[in-house]
Amino acid sequence: MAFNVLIVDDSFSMRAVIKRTIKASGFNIGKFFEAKNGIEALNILNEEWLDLVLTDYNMPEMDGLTLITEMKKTENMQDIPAVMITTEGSKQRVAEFMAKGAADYIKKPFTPEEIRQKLNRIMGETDDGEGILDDGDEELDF
Amino acid sequence: MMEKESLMMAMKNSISEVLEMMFFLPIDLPDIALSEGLWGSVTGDILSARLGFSGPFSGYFIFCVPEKLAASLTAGFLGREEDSITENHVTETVTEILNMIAGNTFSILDNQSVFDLDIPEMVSFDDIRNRQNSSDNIMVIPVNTLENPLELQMIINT
Repeated sequence: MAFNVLIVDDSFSMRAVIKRTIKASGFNIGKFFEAKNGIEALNILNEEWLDLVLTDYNMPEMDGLTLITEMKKTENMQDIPAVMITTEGSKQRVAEFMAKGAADYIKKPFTPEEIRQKLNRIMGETDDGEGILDDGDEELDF
Repeated sequence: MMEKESLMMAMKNSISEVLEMMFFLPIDLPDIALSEGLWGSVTGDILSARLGFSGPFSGYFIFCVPEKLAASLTAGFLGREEDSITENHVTETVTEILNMIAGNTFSILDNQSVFDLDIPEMVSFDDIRNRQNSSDNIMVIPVNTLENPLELQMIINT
């Protein structure tokens, strides 16, 4: 099954890298959507069919934690898994992410292997350890 | 506050993890206390980013990188040819590198404490060089790469 993924990060570079890393990981992707902050993300979530949200924590306008909190309060979004991708590594902060409803978190810096394992587990896909591509094997469409 | 040695070790480990894992950049961390003369051999502009933090102690990080190396890192990071890279791409990459190094430093240092990070911003390299700080509250980590040096600083508010 192919999954539609929304990437939320205020940095264009980081969105591009997350997208590239997911492609390289071999995770089964349908379509990518992108948002610069939580407000843009909520607008996209209202309009598009999405299977997974990957969000940064520290963003202007609306941060990732508020985005997840809003998603959990909204009927048509509350079942979409949201994963925090963040530099935050403190146990207290991670516990806060999970308490607010994050499905998991991925700490920056990350590897394609980590991304694939986490996303496959969250989406209930079998992780056979295969599918990692060299950077040169994938097509980039920024 | 933490011991200065622990902080510097966490900064070094964080730089290595971020630059080697995300940018595939081999680095060398010279064992010197201050980086006077580090920039002498560099031609062209040097870009600098600043990121404030608060928590059990507060202060800010500074990351300095020659523009040429920053452009090359950006091209590799985005998987693009260097001639298609814009100034905005470079700026975002430099601030993101600092964001990752800072967050990762605190994770390595103490994952029980919560530090809040500000949004990183670009600052003038000249202003940084002209700033007067006591050596007691500043930690400087010079980094050598095959191309050019770069530098990470942590300044603790007193």
